[in-house]
Amino acid sequence: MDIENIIAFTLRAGVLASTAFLAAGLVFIGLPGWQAAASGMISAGVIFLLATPVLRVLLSILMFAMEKNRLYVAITLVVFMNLLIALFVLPAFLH
Amino acid sequence: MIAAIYELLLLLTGSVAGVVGALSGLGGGVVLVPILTLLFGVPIEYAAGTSLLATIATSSSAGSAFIKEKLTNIRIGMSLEIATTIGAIAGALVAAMIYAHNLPNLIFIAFGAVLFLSVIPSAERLFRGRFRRSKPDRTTKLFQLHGRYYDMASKRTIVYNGVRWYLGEAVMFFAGIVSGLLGIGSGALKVIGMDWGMRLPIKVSTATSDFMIGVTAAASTAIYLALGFIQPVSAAPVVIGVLVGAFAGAKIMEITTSNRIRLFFIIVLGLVALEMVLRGIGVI
Repeated sequence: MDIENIIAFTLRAGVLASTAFLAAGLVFIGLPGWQAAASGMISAGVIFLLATPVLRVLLSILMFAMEKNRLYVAITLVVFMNLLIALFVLPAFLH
Repeated sequence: MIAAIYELLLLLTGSVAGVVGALSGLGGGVVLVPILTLLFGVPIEYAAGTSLLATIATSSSAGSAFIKEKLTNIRIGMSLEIATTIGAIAGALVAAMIYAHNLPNLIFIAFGAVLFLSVIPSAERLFRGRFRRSKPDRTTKLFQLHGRYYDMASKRTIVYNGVRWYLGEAVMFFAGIVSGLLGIGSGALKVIGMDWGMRLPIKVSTATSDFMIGVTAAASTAIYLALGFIQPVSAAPVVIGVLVGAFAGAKIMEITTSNRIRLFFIIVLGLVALEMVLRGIGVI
């Protein structure tokens, strides 16, 4: 399996995992006593969804490194850094 | 009971947005935000947050299909994501400022204008002739913007060169700002950047745009989450709906070769754009 297929597989697996969590959460949220667990599942679904493109960028760094394409390793690192800034740095200033 | 009905309604709304987004080629977000705001009266910042989540989901699932068909140019997509992610961050921060000053009408007007501008080239593209390869320029070589794919419709291998990388990058920065500001994937603008700017074949531009949208939307989503504009429980059924709808829409597109359906929905979205502007200036 080449790495392009791994990226395609990751995208699909990420979407499946997150929709499974979201759907399970929506089913359980109607049951008495399950509210906390259900909203936890839904949050997990959202986190999986958000993590999928980030993981995709990380895998692309690996792909370009294996192709020994230095320019694209650097380009992808910049994209990855932008995502990290949006995810972890800026939220600290937004409250 | 009422909660369950509300959930089903949101699921249905998402499905409609997914189908229309796929049939018009403009994506679920630009359909979802008007439905949620104009029809359901959802505040536009929450509609945008929900739309961003749905956009990531559709991009990830469509993106994986196109990689398998070898249509996506991962190099071109990645090089342009530098500009889309920076733009998305800037756009989301501007949106934060606009909402903090309680000026959501500005977002309605911008949304209508952007939707209207995306409708025109999408309609134009339906009447276009065959792709002609451009001569490589300096950026083609430097950024390795060449590629090939097998075209199922004409049963030929199409070889292409991307040119004017800087122009693509400039359009992508703008597309990123729009994505962060309005909470949509801004796929139509990304396609303009690659199709008109970099002279790539339309199938490659569309597939690469679908692939890029998730990363752009992830940058905006992170900021919308931090601002509290994403309510996971009400967003969840919409996201699932959009995914199902987009899947169904893609299947419908496979069996119909007619451009008429596409044109019909593009015209409908043109009217929706007008409605968003009217809402923004307070007429409706």
